[in-house]
Amino acid sequence: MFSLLLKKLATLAPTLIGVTVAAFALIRLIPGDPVEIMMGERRLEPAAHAALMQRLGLDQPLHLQYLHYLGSLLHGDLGQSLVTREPVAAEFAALFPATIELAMAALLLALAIGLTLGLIAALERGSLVDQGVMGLATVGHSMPVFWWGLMLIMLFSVQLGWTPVSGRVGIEFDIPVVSGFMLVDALLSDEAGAFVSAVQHLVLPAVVLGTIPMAVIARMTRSSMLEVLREDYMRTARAKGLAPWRVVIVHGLRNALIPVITVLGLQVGSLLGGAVLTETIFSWPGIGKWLIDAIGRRDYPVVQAGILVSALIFIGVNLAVDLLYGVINPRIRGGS
Amino acid sequence: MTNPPKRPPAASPRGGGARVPMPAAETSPSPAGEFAQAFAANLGALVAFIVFMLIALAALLAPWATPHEPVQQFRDHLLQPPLWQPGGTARFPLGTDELGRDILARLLHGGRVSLGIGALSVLLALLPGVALGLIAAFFQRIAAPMIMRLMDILLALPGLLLAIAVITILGPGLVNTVVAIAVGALPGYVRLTRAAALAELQRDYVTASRVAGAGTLRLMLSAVLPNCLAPLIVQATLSFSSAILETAALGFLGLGVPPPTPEWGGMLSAARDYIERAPWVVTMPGLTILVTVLSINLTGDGLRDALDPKLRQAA
Amino acid sequence: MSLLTVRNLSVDFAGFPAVDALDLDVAEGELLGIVGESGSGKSVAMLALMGLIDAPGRVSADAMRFDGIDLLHMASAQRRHVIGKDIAMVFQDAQGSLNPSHTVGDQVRESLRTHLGLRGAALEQRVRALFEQVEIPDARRRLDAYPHQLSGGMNQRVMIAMAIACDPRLLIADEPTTALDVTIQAQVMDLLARLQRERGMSLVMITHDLAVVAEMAQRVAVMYAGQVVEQGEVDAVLSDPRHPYTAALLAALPEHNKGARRLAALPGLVPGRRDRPQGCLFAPRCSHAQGRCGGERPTLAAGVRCFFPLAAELAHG
Repeated sequence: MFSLLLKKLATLAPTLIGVTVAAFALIRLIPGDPVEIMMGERRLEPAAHAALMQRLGLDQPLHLQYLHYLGSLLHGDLGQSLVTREPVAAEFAALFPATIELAMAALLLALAIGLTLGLIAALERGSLVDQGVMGLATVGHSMPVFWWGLMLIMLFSVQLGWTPVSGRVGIEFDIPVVSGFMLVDALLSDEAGAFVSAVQHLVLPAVVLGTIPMAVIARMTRSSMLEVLREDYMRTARAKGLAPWRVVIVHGLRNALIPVITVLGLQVGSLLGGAVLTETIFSWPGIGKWLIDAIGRRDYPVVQAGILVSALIFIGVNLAVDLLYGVINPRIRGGS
Repeated sequence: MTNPPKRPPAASPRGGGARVPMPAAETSPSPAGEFAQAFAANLGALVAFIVFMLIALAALLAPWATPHEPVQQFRDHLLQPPLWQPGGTARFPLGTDELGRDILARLLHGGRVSLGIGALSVLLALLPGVALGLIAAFFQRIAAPMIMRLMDILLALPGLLLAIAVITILGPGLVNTVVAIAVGALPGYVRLTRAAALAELQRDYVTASRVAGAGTLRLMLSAVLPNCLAPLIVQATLSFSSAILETAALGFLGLGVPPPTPEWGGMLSAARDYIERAPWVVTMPGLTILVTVLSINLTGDGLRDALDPKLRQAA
Repeated sequence: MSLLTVRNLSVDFAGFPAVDALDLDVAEGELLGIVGESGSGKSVAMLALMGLIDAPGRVSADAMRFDGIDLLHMASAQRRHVIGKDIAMVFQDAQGSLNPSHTVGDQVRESLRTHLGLRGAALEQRVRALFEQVEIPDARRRLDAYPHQLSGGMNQRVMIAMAIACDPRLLIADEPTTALDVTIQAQVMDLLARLQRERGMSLVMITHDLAVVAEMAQRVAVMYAGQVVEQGEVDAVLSDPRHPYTAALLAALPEHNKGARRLAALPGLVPGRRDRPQGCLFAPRCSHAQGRCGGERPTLAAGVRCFFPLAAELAHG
């Protein structure tokens, strides 16, 4: 398993390098004066301009600049925000857990509901339930996430007043940051009602973000389960006199999940993109919103770092899914 | 393995007895006819296709379909409700937005923008994508690794983020949006074409053609490509719908088509502040996006199902 | 007293009778062979017995009794206590019939746990013993193997182990060796025969191989187009077949065609959905068909379903 990991990393190496090259190129491709773009300083006098050029290493040949950039990356230096003058890496680390919390909540929801609905649809094939689930899945898949979020806000926050519109927890609470995950921190704090407030704030964004993955997972589970139900070993399981739930779950679902795993990696990508939109709508203080704000403010080091890290996360998740697939699918794991 | 049973009786099994009737030979319809039959049989897909055609038609005829200009502001009619709500008039059937602009007009003109960007981005991704895919399939050793690595890098960023990255470099705008979306869709076409072409290349008729001396280019275009068409068509349909979603997303984030050009996502972005006061400003554009994308997706599903037996033959 | 009694079993798939008025008796400790072409309904009949026929198939019968228990009107919750325990089935494609994601050991353990409630050391002991009984070498290591890691013959042995795990009174083997190499076929057949003798269990062997039936079975039932056309003691049926179909099957054996330029094959096809005759189902292909055969369906009488069964004198060549 470890050797498999190394092998996969080896094949990924060119892509990883390529991504860093692309991130490096990103800033330099932006039209305009590089010093202005990278430092945010405008209308400098020639002497100051030249001094900054030298300080930024912009007078060096490109490949040296790239190596310098790569070196900083490996040290965890992602540059400095033009707006706050703080290290980008630090800001990122502070905001990242919020996005993780949101993404994980969304993914859990998507898996729980998507798998269940897909399973039910497959078992009740052709029935109204099946058609209903598939119809919902198609609609969910065609939905503009940001509009869906606004509609849900309209219903649940504005009309019904059940959920708040923005933030991670009620402003009346003062929660010290321990893990960065609001649910955890709220539990740990001694503020009464903080946890409930945190959950209330998380629910709607998680539902919105999880909708598209949920639809995709439901469809995938259904088609995979339908194929499994046709297999001979399902008949054997029934011929053994096993309880129906056992046949469906232990024998059927266990095999049906294998192809669904392959879809998970892509869904995380959808979550990353969707996070940008969801965080914007719900003013959720994560890296998605941070990225969009940075673009608006021309805070290019932040944009560069945000894009780079997103790519690395996506590659990492796909690698993990690849490995997970190898573990779950005995035909790949054991070998003959 | 064992002793056979004793000699059978001498009864002859041949001849005599009533004949079993043979089924009459059926004539099969042409491939195009088969496809049309299969597609039409899928009621949902057919309805979806018609709906989409209507939307496309409405968008195309936008300048003549409404009396109002999409950017025309009616100061006396700010946030007017739609026709069926109290305070609405037939003059602005879907109401007006916060600047007094007719929503119906903006939706129709916005349709031109969205559908146009969608179609263009599909073309811009499909043509180079197919070309690169074919090259990668035919020149496995030289070109393929480089091309596929490049695609891997593009795929390292999920769709929307990649578009955002491209927009960051190029700046917002209509053309830049087309480019940004096309860049994200490109790897999909390359991979698809390459896989389909590789499968075709295994087939005997290709080997035969090569032996007969057919040139590579000719082989590519006349023999291999037509058989890759089915999956490509399905892919194009689905990337068309996701292009529309992405355009709207970029517009919503302020990174796509800039105002005052009407664009569905941009309309939603401006409408955020009016959820309570004027919900129709939010529901209308979103519903339009949903219905358009849904109709395209259902059509694509229908296409895929109708082409399926052919997909299996082609792949 | 008969262990298994089936009267007038019919299985219908949206108008198509896959099994038609089947009568069957299996005595305690008896080996019954069921012979027929593909599509004769032999597998479907057994699946109906096990309660494994799903919609749109419909099962109907006058009686289906196993050891006095009424299988026909049993609730599926009750049936599950009988199936896999007292009646077990072995299927044709062993590798496809085993779950690819569970080890073979776990799949056998599952039967033992479900029906006998075995756990821990007792469970392990039993599983290992079963694997040894079905002659799987290196049993302990093989328990942790996955089906795709084992050969066809090995997988079939696992299937058999799984089936006999709870000491069934009746074992149904649906073409257990058809998918195996010829050399392995003999071994698996011998294994089944040995297990049957040692445990005194009844065995229903579904096959299209007459030679196997001749070798192993005591009684045989020949099926055609969903009906039993002839049944009786093996020796009698195979040496003096009274139904023209049985005769034709025997005539088509390669062993009986030595020196002939072509195999004596039966012209025509088994009736499908659309061309089921009004009269005797075999009549279109029967060289002895006469007027009555075209209009009426013969019933099973004295072990033959024919208006004009072949007489003993005609049978001897």
